[in-house]
Amino acid sequence: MRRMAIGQEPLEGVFEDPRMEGIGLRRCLQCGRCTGSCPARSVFREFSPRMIVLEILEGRVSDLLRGDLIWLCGQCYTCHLRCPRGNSPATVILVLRELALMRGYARDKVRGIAERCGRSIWERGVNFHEEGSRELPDRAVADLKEALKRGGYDSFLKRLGVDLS
Amino acid sequence: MSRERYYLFKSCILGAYYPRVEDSLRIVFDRLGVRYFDDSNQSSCTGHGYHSGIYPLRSTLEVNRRNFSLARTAGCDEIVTSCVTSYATLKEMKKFLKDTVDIYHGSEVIHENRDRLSEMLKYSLEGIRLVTHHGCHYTKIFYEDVRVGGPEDPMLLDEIAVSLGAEVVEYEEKGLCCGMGFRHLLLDQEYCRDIALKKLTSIKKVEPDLILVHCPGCLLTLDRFQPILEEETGVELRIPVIHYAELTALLLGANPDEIGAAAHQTRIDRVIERIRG
Repeated sequence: MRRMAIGQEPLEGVFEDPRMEGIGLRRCLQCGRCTGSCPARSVFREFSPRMIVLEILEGRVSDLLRGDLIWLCGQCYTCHLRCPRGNSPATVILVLRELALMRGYARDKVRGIAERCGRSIWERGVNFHEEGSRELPDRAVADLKEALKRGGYDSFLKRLGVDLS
Repeated sequence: MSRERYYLFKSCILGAYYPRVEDSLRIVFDRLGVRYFDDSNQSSCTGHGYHSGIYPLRSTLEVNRRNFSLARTAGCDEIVTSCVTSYATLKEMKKFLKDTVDIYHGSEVIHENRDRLSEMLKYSLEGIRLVTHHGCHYTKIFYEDVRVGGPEDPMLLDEIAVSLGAEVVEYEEKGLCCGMGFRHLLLDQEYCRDIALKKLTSIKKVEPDLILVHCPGCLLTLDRFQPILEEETGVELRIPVIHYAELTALLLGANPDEIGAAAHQTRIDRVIERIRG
C-alpha cells in the first residue's frame, strides 16, 4: 500500500471545517467496512468511501474536489454508523462537496437542484413546493431571506450560477 | 418526558407531495392530547438541500438558528419533527449552535403513547402483516439516540405496529436505505431505482400487506418508484406503503380522504378497506 501522508497539513482545508471535529479520519485503518456496507457502491462500481478516505490521507484532495466521485454518495450514513474507528466518510464527503463548490468546481453537479430547491427556499421558505402546497407568509419569507443572507446563501448560489436577485 | 408544548416542525416533502400526512399527525396528537404549536413561519430545515450539497454549513446554521428562535418565541423547548432528515439536521445544527432545545421525531411521541393509543382505536390491524422501514437519518446519524432496538435493528415502528394489532414480519434488507439519495432523487435517479428495487424485492419475498415508514423521503421513494420499477423491470411489486401518522389516524377513525390516501401511487385503498371492514 502507498504510504499515507498522515499528519501533513493542511489537507486542502478539510480539517478546518467544524464538522470534522471528533471525526476519526486520521484513524482510518482502511478496513473497508464503509465500502462493504455502502449502497452507492453497489450501484456505482467506481465509488468507494474507503478509497476517498485514502485519497485524502495521501494528500490528493484537489483531485477529489475536481472529480465526480464525491457526488455519487447517497448520504445514507451507513459508513458513519459502522466505522470501527469513528470516521464518517459521509460527513467527510459533505465537507468535500462544499469545498469543491466554494472553489468553483462541480457546479454542473448541483445547479439543477440549486435552481429548483434554492430558489424555492428563497422565494417560499420551503425546499419543495407544488401548486397550493405549504409556503411561508410574506413577512416570514423576508425574515428568512435575512437569515439566508447572513449565512452567505445568495452569494453561494451565485457561485453556482443561480442569481436570486 | 413531561411536555408543555412541542414546536411542530413540518416537512417540505410532505407539504408538497403528501400534505395530509401532517394533518394525520395533528389528528393523532389532538386525540392523544399531545400539545403542539403549529407555526406558519417555520421554514424548511434545508436538510434535503444540505445533503445534496446546495447548502453550505453556514447557511444551514443561520436558517435553523431562526427556526430555533421561533420555537423559543413560542415558548417551546422541545421540537417534534415529522421528517427524519429534519430530525438529524436540527440535531446537528443544535450541536454547532450550542442550543439546548430538544429534538424528537413524531414516531417517538407515538411510540411513547402507544399503550394509550391502542385503547382508543376504532379499528385494529389484526390479521395485517407488515414490514417496517426506519429512515437512515433516524437510525444512522445520531445512532446512539435510537430509542427502541438499536441502529442495526431498530424496533420503534415495529413496537408501534404491534401495539396497533399488526403482525410484524422480518425481511433481509431491513437496514438498507430506501434509495432516495437526496441529490440522486433530483437528478438521474439511477441510485434510487437500483436501491429501491433491491429493498422492495427483499420485502416482496415475505409478502406483507403493508410497508410502514416514518420518513417523508422513504414514503416518496418506496411509494412512487414502484410503478416506475414495475414498468422498467417487469417485476410485480404492488406493496402498499403507508406512513405511521396516516395509519394511526386511520385506526382512530379518520377516513381515507382525511389521511390523503389518494396521494399514494401504491394501492393503499384495498388495505384500508380491509382494516375498516
